[in-house]
Amino acid sequence: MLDTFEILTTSGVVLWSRTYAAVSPAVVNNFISDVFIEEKSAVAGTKDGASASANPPYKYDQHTLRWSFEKELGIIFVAVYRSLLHLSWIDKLVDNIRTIFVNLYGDQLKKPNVTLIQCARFDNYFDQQLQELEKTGSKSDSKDVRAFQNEPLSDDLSDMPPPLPGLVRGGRVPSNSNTSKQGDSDFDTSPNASRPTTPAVASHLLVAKPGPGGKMSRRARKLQNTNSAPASSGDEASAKRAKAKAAKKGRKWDADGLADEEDDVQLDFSTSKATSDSEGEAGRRPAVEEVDASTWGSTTKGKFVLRDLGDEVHSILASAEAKNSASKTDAPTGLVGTGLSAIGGLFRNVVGGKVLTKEDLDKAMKGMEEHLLKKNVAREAAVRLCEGVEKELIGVKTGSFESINTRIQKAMEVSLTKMLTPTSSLDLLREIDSITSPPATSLRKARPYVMSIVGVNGVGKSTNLSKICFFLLQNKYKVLIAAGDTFRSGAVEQLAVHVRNLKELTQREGGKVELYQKGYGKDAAAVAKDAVAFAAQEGFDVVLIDTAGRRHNDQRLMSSLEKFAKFAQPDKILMVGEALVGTDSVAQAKNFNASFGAGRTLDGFIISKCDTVGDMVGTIVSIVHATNVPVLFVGVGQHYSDLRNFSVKWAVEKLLSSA
Amino acid sequence: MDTTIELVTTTAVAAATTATAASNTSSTEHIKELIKDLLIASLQPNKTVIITGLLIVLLFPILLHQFLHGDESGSSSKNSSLPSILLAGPSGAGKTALLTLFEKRAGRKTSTSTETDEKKSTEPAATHTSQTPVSVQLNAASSEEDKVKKFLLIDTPGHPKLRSTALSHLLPLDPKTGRPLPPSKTSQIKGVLFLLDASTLSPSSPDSSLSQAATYLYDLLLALQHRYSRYTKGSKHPPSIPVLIAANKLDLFTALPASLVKKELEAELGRIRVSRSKGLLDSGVREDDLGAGEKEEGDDWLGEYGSERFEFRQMVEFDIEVEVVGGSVVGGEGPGCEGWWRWVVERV
Repeated sequence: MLDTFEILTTSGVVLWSRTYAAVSPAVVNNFISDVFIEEKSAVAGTKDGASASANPPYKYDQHTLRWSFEKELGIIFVAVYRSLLHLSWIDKLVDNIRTIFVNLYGDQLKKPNVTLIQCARFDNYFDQQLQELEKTGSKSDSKDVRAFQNEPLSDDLSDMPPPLPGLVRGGRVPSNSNTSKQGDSDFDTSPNASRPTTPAVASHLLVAKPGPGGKMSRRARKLQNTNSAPASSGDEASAKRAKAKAAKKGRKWDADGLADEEDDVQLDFSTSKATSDSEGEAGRRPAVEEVDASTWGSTTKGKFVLRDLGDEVHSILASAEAKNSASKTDAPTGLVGTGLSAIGGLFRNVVGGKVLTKEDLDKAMKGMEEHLLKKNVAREAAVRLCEGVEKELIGVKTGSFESINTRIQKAMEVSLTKMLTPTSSLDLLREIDSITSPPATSLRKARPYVMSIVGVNGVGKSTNLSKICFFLLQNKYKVLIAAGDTFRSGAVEQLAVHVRNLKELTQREGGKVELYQKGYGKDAAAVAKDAVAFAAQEGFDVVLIDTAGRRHNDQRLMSSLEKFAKFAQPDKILMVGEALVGTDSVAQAKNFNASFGAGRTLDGFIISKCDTVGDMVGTIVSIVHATNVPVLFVGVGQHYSDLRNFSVKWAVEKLLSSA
Repeated sequence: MDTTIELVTTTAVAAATTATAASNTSSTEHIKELIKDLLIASLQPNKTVIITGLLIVLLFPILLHQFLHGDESGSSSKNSSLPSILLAGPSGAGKTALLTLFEKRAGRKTSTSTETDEKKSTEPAATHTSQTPVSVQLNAASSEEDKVKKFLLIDTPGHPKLRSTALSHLLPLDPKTGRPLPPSKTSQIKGVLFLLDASTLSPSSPDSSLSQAATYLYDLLLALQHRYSRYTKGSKHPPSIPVLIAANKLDLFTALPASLVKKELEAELGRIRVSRSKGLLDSGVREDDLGAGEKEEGDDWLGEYGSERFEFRQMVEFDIEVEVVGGSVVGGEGPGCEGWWRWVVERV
C-alpha cells in the first residue's frame, strides 16, 4: 500500500512523516528539485495550491508520488507508493491530511524563526484518515467521503474511541448498533458497512419506507429525544444495557426505553446476521468500554461537546469545505463596504502593505507579459513565466512603499535568475582537463574530449565552432576539427579556411589545430567516429565536430542525429540558436533536444548574433524554458574573440530593462 | 494653523447657511442648528480644540503605520537587528539538519522534557532538499554566567540554482539601481558556516562532490573578497566576516579528516582559480569597460594575485579568516558539532 507519507516545508525540514516501507530519501529529493526548483514538469501551475488530483503525479524509480502544496505556509504534502499499485483514494488522503494539518498546526507554522513544531499527536489523525479512506477505496464506492460527513447525525458517533487500529473495529460496531435505529450516518466508515445485509444499513433504508406512518413519527420523536437529552448519561446507560442484554434478542435494548415490537419486526429481515453480529461484539465489549469512558464527550448547556477524533476530523474537513464554497459565492457586502475597501486598496497600492489578489495582479501581469513579448520571448514561454509569477504572488503582502509593478518586477527577476542559472558548473576548461588528464587515482583512461555542434541552417554553427576553437587554442589545447557537414557544397572548404586562419593567429600561443575531412557524400556519423579514433591515436585534446544544418521539423534529417550521437559519443552536444529567431526557437530547441535518442539530450546552447538584437534577448528565455538546458556561450560579434560566457545577471538586466 | 481654521470655519458656516435656507421643516431645522452649533464650537480657537487637533495630526500617521504594517514590522524589524550566522554549502551537506539540531538543543535546555524527548532532541530532524531560506533564533552563552545573546542562524538552499540567495546576503544589491548597498546592511552577518560532506569529498571516489563544493566555496570567498575591496574606504574596512568550513559526516567511514579536507579544497580552489582566469569573458563585460580600468587587475582573482598555489591563509589579506573544523551532525560518537557551535558562539 502506501510506502511513505511526508509533510515537509519548503525549507527542507520534515515536519511529520509516516513510513510503512523504507523509501530512499533520493526519491523525495529528486521530486523537489525536479518539480519545484527546476520546474521540469511540463504542466503549468505546478505551484498551485490546488488539490493533489490537479497536480500531475511524479514518477521516480518505481515509485509514484502524489503531492499537494500549501503555498501560504510553504508546506508540501507527499504520498509515496509503488507505481504498480493503483490507489484511487490517495488524492483524497493527501487533500484531507492537508486540510487537517493546516487547520491544526497552521498557527504554529506562521511563527517566524521556528522550524520545529509539535505534532506528535498528528499520528492519530493520520491513522483515522488512512483507515477511513482505505475502506472506502476497497469498497470501490463512488460515494464521496465528505458526503456523509454532512449528514445530520454524524454526532451520534461521538463516543468512538481514538482510532487505534484494533479498537476502531470494536469501538464503532457497538455504537452502530446503539444508534442504528436512529438513522446512523457513518456506516460507510465502519467495517461491516460493506455488507448490505447488515441490520444497521438495511433496517433503516429498507424498512423506513413501507413502515406505517406512526412508526415514522415515533422514530422521529425518538431522534429528537436522544439529541436533546443529556446524551452522555443516556449513551452510557444504553451501552451498559447493551452489554447486559447482548443476547439473542439484542434489538430490544434501547437507551430511551422506546424499543418495542416494531423493531423486532424490522429485525426479521436479517435476523441471523443481526444476532451473529451482536454476539461477536459481546466478546469485545469490555475492552472497548474502558476506552469509551476516557474519550467520553461532556455536556455543556445541554449541547454535546465533541471530543472524538473522527468527528473532529470530519468537522475540520466539513468546515474547510464550507469555507471553500462560501468564499466562492461570497458577494461583496453593500455599497459602503466595497467603496471603503476600494479606497483602502488604492491607498495601499501606493503605500504598500497590500495583500495581492488575482484581480490586482491581472492587469499588471498583462503589462509584464507584453514587456516580455517585446523582448522577443516566445508567447508560450512568456505566458507560463507570468503564470508562475502570478501564482507565487497571490496572497503576498507588498513591502512599504512598494507598488504592485515593482513587486512583480522583483518576482520576475528572481524567477528568471532561477531559470537561467545552470544546475551544474559549466566550466568547460576544467571539464576538458578532467577528461584529457584524469587524476592518477581514478581508473579512467585519458582520451580526447569530444564536442559537437548542431543547429538549424545558417545560424552560425561553423563560425561558433571556430570561435570555440580559438578559445581552446589560446589555452594551449591541441584541437582537431572534424568536417561532419558532408552535404552542403563548400562546407569543408569553409572549415579549411577557418583552420588556416586559426593556425596563423595562434601560432605564437602554442596551440595546434588540424582539420579532419573525408570529402562530401559520406555518412557524417562514420566520419565523426573516425575523427575521434584518429584524435585519440594522434594525441589531440579536443575534437570539435561540425554537422550539417538541418530543419528541426524534417524527420528524415533529424533522425540521423541519433545515429550520430551513438557513433561519435560526444561529451558535449551544443546547439547553436540565433537570437534573431522568434517564436520558432521553442520548437527548434525542443526538437533538437529530443532527437538524440533516449538518455541523451543537449548539453548546452550557444546563442549567436546577440549583438544584432540589442536588448531583445528573449530567445534565451524561450529555449531555456522549453528544454531546461543551460546556455553556455553567447556570440557577440564577428571576430574569433567575440564569444562570451553567458552571464545570468546580464541577461536578466537586459530582459527587464524598460528602455 | 489659524488661517486654515478660519478658512474651514467660513466654508462650514456658508454650507450651514445654505443648508438652513434650503430646509423648511422644523425638525431638520433643529438638527441643522445643532450641527451648526457643534461646528462653530469645534472651530473656535480655544485650547481644547487646538490640542485635540494637534493630537489627531500627530497620531494619525503613527496609527496608519500600525494599521498597515503592524504585524510585520513587529517581528521583522526586531529580528533584522540581531546578529546572524549564515549557513551555506552544497546540497546534501547537512545544513538544514544542523539547523534543526541546534534548534532542538536550544529547546531541550529551556523546557523540561521527558525521556523520549531527550533522546529525540539529540538527533536532527529528517530533511530534504531546501527551496527557501529559513532562519532560526538561538541563544548563545559563551559561559555559564555570561549574558545570553540572541542570534539568528540563517539556512540557505544549496541547490545550484538557488545559491544566489546565500550570496545576496553577503553582497546585497539595491533593487532599484542594481548597485551594491553599503556594508551597513550586511553588518549583521557575523560569520559564514560553510558545510560540506567530507565523506564524498575524496577526488578518487566516483561521485566526488569536491568540485561542486569547491565551486560554491570559490564563489562565496570571491563575494567576500569583493565586499572587502569594494567597501574599503581609506583605512576604514567593513566588519570582517570569518568563514568556518565545517567538514560534516565525519562519522562515516569514507570521510576525510579536517586537515585533508583543507588540503583538497585548497588544491581544487587553485585549479578553479586558474581555469577561471583563462576562461572567456562574461557576456556583460563590454570592450570599453576593459580599457577604462574600472576593473582592477586581479579583481576576480581569489587570494593573493599571481601566487602559485592557493591557500586559505591568503584570504587574511582581505580580512577573511578561514578555518576548517570537522564534525558530524548525526551519530552520538565522534566529534559531533560542538566545535562548530563554539565557533558560532565566539563569533556572535
